[in-house]
Formats: sequence, structure tokens, C-alpha cells
Amino acid sequence: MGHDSIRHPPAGYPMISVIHSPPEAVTEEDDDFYRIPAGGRRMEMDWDHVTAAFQSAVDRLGWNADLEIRPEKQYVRVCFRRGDPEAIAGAIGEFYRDVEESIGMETFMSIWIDYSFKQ
Amino acid sequence: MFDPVDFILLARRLSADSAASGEVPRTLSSARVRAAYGRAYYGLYLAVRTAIANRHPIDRRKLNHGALYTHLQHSRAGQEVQRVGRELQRLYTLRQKADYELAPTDPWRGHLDDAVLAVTLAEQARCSRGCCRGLISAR
Repeated sequence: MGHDSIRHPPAGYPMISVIHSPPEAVTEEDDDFYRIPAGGRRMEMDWDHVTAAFQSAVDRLGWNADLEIRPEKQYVRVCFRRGDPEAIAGAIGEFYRDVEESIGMETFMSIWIDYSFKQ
Repeated sequence: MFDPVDFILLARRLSADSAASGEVPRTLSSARVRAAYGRAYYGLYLAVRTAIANRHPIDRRKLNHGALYTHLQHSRAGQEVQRVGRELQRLYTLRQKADYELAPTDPWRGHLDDAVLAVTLAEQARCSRGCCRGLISAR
């Protein structure tokens, strides 16, 4: 099992969960996750910087959402607490541009971004 | 000629109905969400395939699923094209799970029951479809 760390922010800010995986989980076939796209680009990256970029974009768009970060799987999930689906879909392009500008296109495309809504 | 955007609109309606209904049994709601992912995927896939085939001398039957979303995400493609490729891959993966997995594990179980997510992704497919028409150009 991996180990988790959770940052509890002030009310209204996104909660950020960073979930690490053991090394063997990175290389084994894992059907529970998306395949890393774009020709399987795996790369080293500064996950503090990546996390800050996602957090900043979520804040700027005013999304009421938490972030789940899985560095070894190059995976970020944006979990909306609430929000209008059409407005969210319409802002996803802007969200991507924000993050891309901060971390660079190659890094951005090597991260799988997932979404969910709190039930 | 059939416009694949109609598949996306159908996906939007199926998922919105599911989100609004709160119906019992819940399996019918899940069936709508699963069907919505499939229609959203094919709506975007067919739109992208047509856009490419209209601009390049490529037999559209050779633009199969995995090759298409992988090619669009090539590092030499433009940013918008890569994003369309990523949305296509997302919907392809969801469609595979929706059509074949009866007892999916997380995170798929959550995704396949999440009507609000399905509405969002159908809407996102509509945005991506709008992008792809003008973006897939000759190098």
C-alpha cells in the first residue's frame, strides 16, 4: 500500500490529498488507472510545483473542488464538491491553459487528469 | 448525412435525465450513464475522424480508435489538438468500461454511476468537437 498525506486548508480552499504508491505499483499493469497518454510519456517532475499549479488554477476559476495527487502514477483528480456541469466543461480549456502555462506543455501532457463529483 | 454531434447531444440528454431522475431501480440510471459515455465517445470520434479525412488523403477506415487518440497527442501536435486527443482517450476508456465491465472497481465504479460527470464530459466532448474542425490541419 502507498502512504497518503492530506493538507487541510482553510474553509473554502481545496483539500489536497497526495497519495504515494510503492515503486512496484508504478511499473506493473494497473487496470484501475488510465494509461498515461501521449505515447506513454513518463518524466520526472517537481510535484510540489505541479500541485501548486493545479491548486492555483482551481482557485482562479473559483471551482469548489478538492485535488487528489498521485505522483508515481502521474495522476491528478479534480473532485468537485458542487458546480454546474456546463460551466465546468466550458472552463476546462481555461483550466488546462492555466496549468500548462505554469508547468509546461510536455509535463502537462504527461499527467492524466481525472474528474469526479462528490455524490 | 448524419452529424455525429447528434450522438453527443443524445449523450447529454441521457446523462441529464439520469441526473434529474433519481430513479429506482438505480440500474436504469447507471444504464443511461453508460450509454451516454458510449454516445459521447462515438460523437467525438466520428467528428475527429471526419475532420482528418476531409483534410488529408487518409482512408477514414484506417483511423482506428487507439491510433487516433495516440496520434492526436503526439508531442509535435498543437496544444489544442493534444487536448482533443486526451478527451478522446478519456471517453474511449470510459466507453470500454461502460460496455464491458459489469462490476468495475474504483475509480471506474464511481465514474459509471456519476451522471453529473457524464453531463460534464458530454459537454466537454461538444467543446472538443468544435475545436477539432478548425485545428486538424496539414503540417
